[in-house]
Amino acid sequence: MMKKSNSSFKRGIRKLKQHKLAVFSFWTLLILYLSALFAPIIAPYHYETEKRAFSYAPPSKVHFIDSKGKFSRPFIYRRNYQFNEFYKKVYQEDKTKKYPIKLFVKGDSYKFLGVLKTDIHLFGVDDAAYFNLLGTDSRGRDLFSRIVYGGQVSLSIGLVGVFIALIIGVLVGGLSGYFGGKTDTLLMRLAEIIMVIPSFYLMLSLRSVFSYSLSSLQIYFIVVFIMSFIGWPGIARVVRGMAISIRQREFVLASRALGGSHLGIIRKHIIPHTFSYVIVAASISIPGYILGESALSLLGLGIQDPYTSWGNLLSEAMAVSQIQLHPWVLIPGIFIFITVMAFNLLGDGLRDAFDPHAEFIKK
Amino acid sequence: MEKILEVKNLKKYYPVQKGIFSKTSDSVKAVDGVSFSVQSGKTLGLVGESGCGKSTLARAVLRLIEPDLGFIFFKNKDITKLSYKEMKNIRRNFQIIFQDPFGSLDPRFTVFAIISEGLINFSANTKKEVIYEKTVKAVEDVGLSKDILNRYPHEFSGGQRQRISIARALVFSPKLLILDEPVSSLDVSIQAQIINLLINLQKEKGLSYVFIAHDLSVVRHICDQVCVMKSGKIVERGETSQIFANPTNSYTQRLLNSIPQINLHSTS
Ligand SMILES: Nc1ncnc2c1ncn2[C@@H]1O[C@H](COP(=O)(O)OP(=O)(O)OP(=O)(O)O)[C@@H](O)[C@H]1O
Ligand SMILES: [Mg+2]
Repeated sequence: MMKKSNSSFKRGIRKLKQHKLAVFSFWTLLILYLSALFAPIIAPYHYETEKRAFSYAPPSKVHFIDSKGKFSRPFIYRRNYQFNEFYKKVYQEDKTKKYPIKLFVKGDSYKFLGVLKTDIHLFGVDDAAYFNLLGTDSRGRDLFSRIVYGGQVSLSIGLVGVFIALIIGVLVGGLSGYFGGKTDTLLMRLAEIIMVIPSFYLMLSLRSVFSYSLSSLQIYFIVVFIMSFIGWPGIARVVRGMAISIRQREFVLASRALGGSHLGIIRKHIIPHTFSYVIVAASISIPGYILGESALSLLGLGIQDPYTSWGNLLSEAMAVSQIQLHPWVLIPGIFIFITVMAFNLLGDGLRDAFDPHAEFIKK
Repeated sequence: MEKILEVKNLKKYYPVQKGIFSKTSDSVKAVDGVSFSVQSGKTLGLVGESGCGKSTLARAVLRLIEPDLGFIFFKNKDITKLSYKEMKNIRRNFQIIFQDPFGSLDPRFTVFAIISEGLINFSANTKKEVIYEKTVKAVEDVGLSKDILNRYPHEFSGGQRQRISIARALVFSPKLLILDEPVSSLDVSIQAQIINLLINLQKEKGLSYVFIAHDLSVVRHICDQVCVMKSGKIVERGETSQIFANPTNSYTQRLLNSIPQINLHSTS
């Protein structure tokens, strides 16, 4: 015979697999997260590497057919620039020499995962040329590399923030629902106060509590703190509702009769029953965290140059004139959009597959 | 004879909010001034129709929910006002079997975790082997095999689940068991098995029972005394034989007339 936790999990996975969009989203996210994890390898350049001469260079053209019309391995040309009559840089390819795109090339050195010192990059071209898959920014830094590095912040803030918010939300909701009475009133009023304040306003006011000039790591944790501070009440409210209905179930009364302490009962018999909801809620709320980080960084209150996050990268796109002249600065926004969409679709799939209410009503 | 449990004038009202805006709230008088006592080693029956407050009474007596008024004495010790922590030391003396065999076992726990929960709570520093041995003994006492210990509640029938509940309650040898309609949700043939099991366990371990039922059929075979409950109050009480021979209350008479027949000795 199959164990229950196991079989309902398998059933859920099977249902999830039928949800094509959710599966597609899952793989998309996996690729995004893996590339953030392996950013130093995948990015052809370090996020701080700048070539001022190549400011706002458009994406490099990748060629497959050489000047003699023959099919060749992908390559790029070196670029030179001239100023046109409006003093705008115009880049031109110097077709005299091909720079083939090579795999596992030597480039900027870095420490992989903080320990392994190496200079191997997944792909790149010889140093004489500058390969910009997605163009460069105002200081001539490779946008693709910065996006890949920026994913480390933008993608992890969602996970870390949700994780902290979940812990607080589940604890508060569990206590509130189980004990009821004054505890409940107090905790839920607190949650409601946080929920009624517009979250953007709350975000900005919380940010203003902290100093402006901080190290990037400090800022990272402040952003995480702000986002989870805003996020926990929503989770707490639903977990509370579930705890209220679970606390009346007979197995909870039985545990009381068996000498269980209140906290032990909450931990062993109440909170685990909210997990299926909590996991779905988490995947649905991650986009909020990513967008929150982007908003803060976009306003210059989050991650700051030279460090990168998708929101911070987008701040280059704040002026309409920039977008007209260098449309590629909008690309980080596409990454935000894809990630947010993928989490939403995956969340929908998870909700259908592990419908917590169905399990709830069953018995 | 010694009284193991005595309940005096116990009350439990549930508040019912009438409207969203009205502050005036009504209440359901689920248990409305109930007194009874249980003699050591005997079985007291509590009988009444659905919704008359039997489960509420059972839970309030064990302080699983807080009674509003009244007194509960366990072996002449007043336990009504003990704190939750103080109650813990008393709880190993009495246990409850719930009405719903599906709701009373946490679906996420294995049978072993379910049965050993009380043992672990009550004797924190017991060795793992001792806990295991006692748990095995408890499942075997209720007629199950120790092979089931790694399985989950949903794999069992209602009757098997009630056996697991009984094992969970008896594993640390309490003196008093409150049985809240332990068989009412089971097939008739299974009912007889469980009742016989309970009778045997009582003889073996010298247990005292409060046996709750919504009709008088089962009560006759297991109870020494019977209290008949209606709308939160006890309307008639006496020796079982006397209640069956000449009931004085019209409600009791009605209950008696609606007894379905079950034969306890056909299966076991
Ligand atoms: N948590 C609660 N909140 C409000 N009212 C309740 C609650 N629990 C029970 N009641 C009400 O109290 C009354 C007694 O319920 P109780 O469950 O004790 O009856 P019972 O005799 O055990 O019935 P049954 O034979 O169906 O199990 C019922 O009217 C019920 O609706
Ligand atoms: Mg009941």
